[in-house]
Amino acid sequence: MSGKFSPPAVLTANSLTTGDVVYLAATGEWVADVAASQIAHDEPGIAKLEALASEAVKRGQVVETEVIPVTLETGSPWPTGNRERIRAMGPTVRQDLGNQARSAADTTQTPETAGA
Amino acid sequence: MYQYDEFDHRFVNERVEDFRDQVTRRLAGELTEDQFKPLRLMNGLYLQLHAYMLRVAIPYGTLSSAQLRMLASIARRYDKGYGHFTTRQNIQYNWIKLQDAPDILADLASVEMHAIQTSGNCIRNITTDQFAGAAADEVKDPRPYAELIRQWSSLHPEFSFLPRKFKIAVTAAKQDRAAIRLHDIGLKLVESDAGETGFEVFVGGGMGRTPMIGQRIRDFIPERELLSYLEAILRVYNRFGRRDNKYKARIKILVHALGADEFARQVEEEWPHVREAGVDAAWSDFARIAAFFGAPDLADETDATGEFDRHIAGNTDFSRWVERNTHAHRSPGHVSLTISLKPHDGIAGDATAEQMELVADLSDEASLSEIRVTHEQNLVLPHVAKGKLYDIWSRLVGAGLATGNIGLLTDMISCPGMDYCALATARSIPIQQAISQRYDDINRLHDIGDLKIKISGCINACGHHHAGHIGILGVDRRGVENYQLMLGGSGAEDAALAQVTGPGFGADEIVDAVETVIQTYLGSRVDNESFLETYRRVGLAPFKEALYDAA
Repeated sequence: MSGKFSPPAVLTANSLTTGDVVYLAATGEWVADVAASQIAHDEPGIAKLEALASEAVKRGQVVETEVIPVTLETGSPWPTGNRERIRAMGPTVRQDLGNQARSAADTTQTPETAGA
Repeated sequence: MYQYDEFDHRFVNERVEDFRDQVTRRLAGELTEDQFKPLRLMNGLYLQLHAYMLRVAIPYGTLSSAQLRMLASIARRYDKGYGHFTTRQNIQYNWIKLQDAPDILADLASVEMHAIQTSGNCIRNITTDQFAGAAADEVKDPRPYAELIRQWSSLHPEFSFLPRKFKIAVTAAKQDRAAIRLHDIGLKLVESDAGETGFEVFVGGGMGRTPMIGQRIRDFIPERELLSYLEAILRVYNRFGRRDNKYKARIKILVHALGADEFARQVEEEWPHVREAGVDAAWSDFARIAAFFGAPDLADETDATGEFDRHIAGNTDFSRWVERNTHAHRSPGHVSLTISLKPHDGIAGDATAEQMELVADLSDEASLSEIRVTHEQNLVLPHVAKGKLYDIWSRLVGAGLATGNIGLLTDMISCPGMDYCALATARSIPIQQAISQRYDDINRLHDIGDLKIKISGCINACGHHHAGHIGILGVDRRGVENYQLMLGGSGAEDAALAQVTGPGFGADEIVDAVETVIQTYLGSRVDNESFLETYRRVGLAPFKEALYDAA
């Protein structure tokens, strides 16, 4: 779960079935695109994401949930840490793989829903 | 090579069905992640940054062509068309889906493979010399002993929950290509003056955050008593190894704390109890195992090298490739051929399904259907007649597999790093690629000569940086990747730990720092000294000076 950091933050996890990197969207779905994430703007918002994380884990949708800090500088959430940026995109050495490949191939559609 | 008997088949198949049931129950919500995680790890299934990762055991790095074809098929069918060969002579797949894992394990079982003990605090894959059973410089094939140890250590009830993971390596050659002194137990096969086969035993080596060179605790253990002696070592470790702190739980910490002499004394004290229990009793089993590893019946090909000499004389690319990528074979007219998985700008250890299939085909045609995986993340065709090398080379060229850089600067070990690994704190592959790009001049590479660069993306040291002639360790420094440089390590018979040069370098500085080290070496070397020889003669000081004082 979350370490000590300041909002804004979003909730990420891996899909139980596929292992794919996913984010909790405002719609309540788990999506591949970090930019579509539901944003926590304050401490109560983070607490809410953590509660939603526990529920999703209990439902068996996702594993390894984590609330991560993001920046909103570009208008949509983008992780502040290197590791989370690589998770959001895919391997920097294989740009044909991971979420970056999915978004390049599928730019006009909404990100696919992952999880059960 | 070893072939499963009825028991092995039944056991591995039952294990697949157990896991299938566990996955079904997990997906149905009958098992929680806390309940399921240890079960999937016991079957080699990790969760990494982007997906599940499956690590498949390749016992002592030996594969048949049928097995390699199956590994290719799994890469194509269930992954993204490639696999990554590891420093434990295993393979791992980076993009596995949980629901596919049982089918993959069933496919593996069909070719006598599995993913058992590729994770967890147990005895991991036994590694050995990639040229075992072929090398001109070995006493005898170490793989029957590695197989004996594998059978003894597989699901050993006493050693399934050790304080920490446990790694054993065996070599039988003068030149140590298995890094035995950087293992929890390193075994060197030797023959006594009386002609008896036995082992020199080293314990307490390892890398990670507290690197140590293994210490010799026995000059000679007769082969028939090997297992009881190993069991005595494991018992002392299992009883007294620390379980309170995972960073101090490896056997090296215990050996260091007790001192090698006291550790050895405790092992000797334990040993008779194990021997009495009959661990070594069934030596007839060993003969059965050894029969699977009979020396290959190779004709003398000395006079049948065909156009080989003409191609060597007329084709520099080919002759350099032969010079770097072949190793002396015990049979006249033969070599062991290393196929580099370090192409210019590639990713160390990665091979596509098509590449694996080509290597499998070549092994059928020219190497008795056998392939080896090296701990330096390359592949080997162990038994190749020289006369076939030109044809093999020509076909490898077309597949991007003919890089003639074995043992040269660009033949780097690199862990997956933060591009894939959940433990990593920095990326390592981009550094390996940047170095590969900088040193793209083959003439310069040959001039620099033998040099091992090893890169890890965190202190766990899967990239063996402590044993690199030049080691690079990526760390996270306040959110920025930073790379420590170290020099003078070796995993070979002259094992040594690399020494840190000083403050680390940024990602955009580390390749220049490597170049500074190379320049310093070239400026200091005498005659044909290798990098390591020069380093050992002049020490760290001139390198430090060049790296830090010049600016």
